[in-house]
Amino acid sequence: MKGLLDRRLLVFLGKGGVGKSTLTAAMGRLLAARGRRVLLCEINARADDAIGSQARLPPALGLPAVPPEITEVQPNLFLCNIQPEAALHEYVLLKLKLERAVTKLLGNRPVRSFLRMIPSLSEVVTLGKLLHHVRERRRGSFRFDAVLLDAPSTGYGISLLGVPQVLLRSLPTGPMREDLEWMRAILVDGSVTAVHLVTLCEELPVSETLELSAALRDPLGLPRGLCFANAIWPSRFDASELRELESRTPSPVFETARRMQAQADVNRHQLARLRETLDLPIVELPLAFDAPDAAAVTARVQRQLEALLLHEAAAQASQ
Amino acid sequence: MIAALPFASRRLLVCIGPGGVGKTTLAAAIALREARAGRKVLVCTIDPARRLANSLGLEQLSGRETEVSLAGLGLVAPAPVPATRLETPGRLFAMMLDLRRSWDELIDRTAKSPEQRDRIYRNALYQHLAGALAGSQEYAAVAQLAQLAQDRDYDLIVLDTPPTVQALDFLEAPTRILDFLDNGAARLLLAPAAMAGKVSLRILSLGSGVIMKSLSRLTGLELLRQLAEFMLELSGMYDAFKAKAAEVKRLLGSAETGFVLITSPQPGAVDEALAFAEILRRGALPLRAVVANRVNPMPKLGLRESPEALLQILEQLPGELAGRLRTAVEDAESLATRDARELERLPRVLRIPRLEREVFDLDALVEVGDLLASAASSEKLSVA
Repeated sequence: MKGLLDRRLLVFLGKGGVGKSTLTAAMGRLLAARGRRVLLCEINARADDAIGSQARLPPALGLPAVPPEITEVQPNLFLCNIQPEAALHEYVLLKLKLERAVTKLLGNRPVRSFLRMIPSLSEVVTLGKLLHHVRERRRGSFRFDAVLLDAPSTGYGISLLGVPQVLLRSLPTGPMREDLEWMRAILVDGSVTAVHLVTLCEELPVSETLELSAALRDPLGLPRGLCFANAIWPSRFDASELRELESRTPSPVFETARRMQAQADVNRHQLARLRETLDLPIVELPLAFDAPDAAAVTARVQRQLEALLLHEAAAQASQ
Repeated sequence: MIAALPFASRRLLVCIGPGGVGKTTLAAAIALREARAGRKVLVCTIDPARRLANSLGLEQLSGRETEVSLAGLGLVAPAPVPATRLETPGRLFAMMLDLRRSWDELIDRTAKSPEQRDRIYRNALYQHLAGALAGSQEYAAVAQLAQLAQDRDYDLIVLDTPPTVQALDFLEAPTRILDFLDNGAARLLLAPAAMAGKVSLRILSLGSGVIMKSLSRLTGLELLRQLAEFMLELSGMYDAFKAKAAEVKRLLGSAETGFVLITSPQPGAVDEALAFAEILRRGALPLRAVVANRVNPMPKLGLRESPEALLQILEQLPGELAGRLRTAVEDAESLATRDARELERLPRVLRIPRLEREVFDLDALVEVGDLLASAASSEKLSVA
């Protein structure tokens, strides 16, 4: 795990609802606590509005609403909610240099809709903003030591990461192509980037994880990191103990024990399947049953990750 | 006879909700339940995972409607006995909406000539069109759905939607596509020569030299030219697109359509579900039911409700086993308490308890459908 913490772009990818935001937030806190300047990014198609914030990272960090622009929320820890519309504006400004020219161009409705027809433009500018911060320098050194992405869930996440490769096949030479080339170069560089998979140990998430892993290797050719097996239910009773409970406790109590163990069995079975099939190191994270909210879950996962790192360091020292 | 679900009485049910909550499974369970109640039902998924296909007893879902054999349920006499239906005349069909094919079909139906269709297919940009317009995939899927609703005689079509926050876009997709086509972009951007069908670099008359220059610094001239060409092709199909989008929009808002919001009791999922509900409300789209899947049940005999009784039971057990049992009960109570607290935020939510096995087959889908029916009847949903 340690080696992976030195990479400057860490992507957390997986199916919806598996805990990507939790992992991103916990890993971000951990790195920031170790003195690194960390930028945590998420991507939201919609700007915040009366419906409320769609942002997932602030709740995971126990924070109230955070502005979408890069904001330092604790020493060394920065948040950014990338929104395609705003990212497009930034991108155009980067190209045209003059704010007035940008306003004129993007203020023109026909031009805006014309731009929308550019294949995957929204993905290009979104990914472009993220990767810009990976290579951005301030006074000679990198502005951020690590950029972490809480990736959109499976389908969209993978198509986002694959955008440079796919577009490079069909776009004619020109400024956009040049941008896609440096973006792709960062993504495929195993000394810079690691794509971590996050999953639950259940049938469908594990299947998707295996498919994701295969797709990352080929056709995407992106460097894979770890697989986080999240929210594992502990196994507490073996078959003979369950029989003992069945005979010695009233049925509602036995039912609870059996039900809890049934879920643990599903997890154990799927974890075994993951271990058998996936060629990545797997980090097991137990479910935090009593964590009352997202921030408490993040704190728990952060402590688990810290313990794993210490354990790893101790194991290395003793070798 | 099995009773129909009270919220499924409309002709088109759209299942929406955050990812990872079991939307596809519930869509299939609703469809199966309605088929058992005697209706002719189609379930459309956009989930390429094989699991739904397998749980329906099919090898794979395709872009064509495939009938699901309900024989295994003991409702229909097995072949070769000639269709002596034991209980239900209902039928279930399943298909996968192939988004790419949806677009192709849309172009097929809309193109003015085979030549125009082929020019569009060949255009490099068309290859990426699905990604180019936000929500366009969803739009194409809904357009295909509208076609099915129009052409076929299903009593009910259940649609499962994409598993991302992006799925929110599909509700607005018809409007957005209309907006995109309706703003006169083609007329303003393309020179008269181009409108007459002559394609060259000079077809672009992008309002002013400044804008043209700015755009080309962004994209390069060659991409601009390709874009202009493509826009020219599409602009010819404008009226047909517009009619289709309006039809889809009408269908989604009509009395024939209802939405089922599916979530899990996880805090993040409930937040997203509330956002979905708000979007439906704003669009005046009818929310027919809110379903929470995989809810952790409260132990019937636990530390919170009846601590003395449980402690007495624990005393009878070997210390170590008693300790583990106690932790298990505490953990179950923590989860159930958290779920109950989260679900209070959702109005009239139907709770489906977490099943002990994963849903792999028709029998499990029947079980989910039955749980849904009993939750609905205890919530006393009106049939109106």
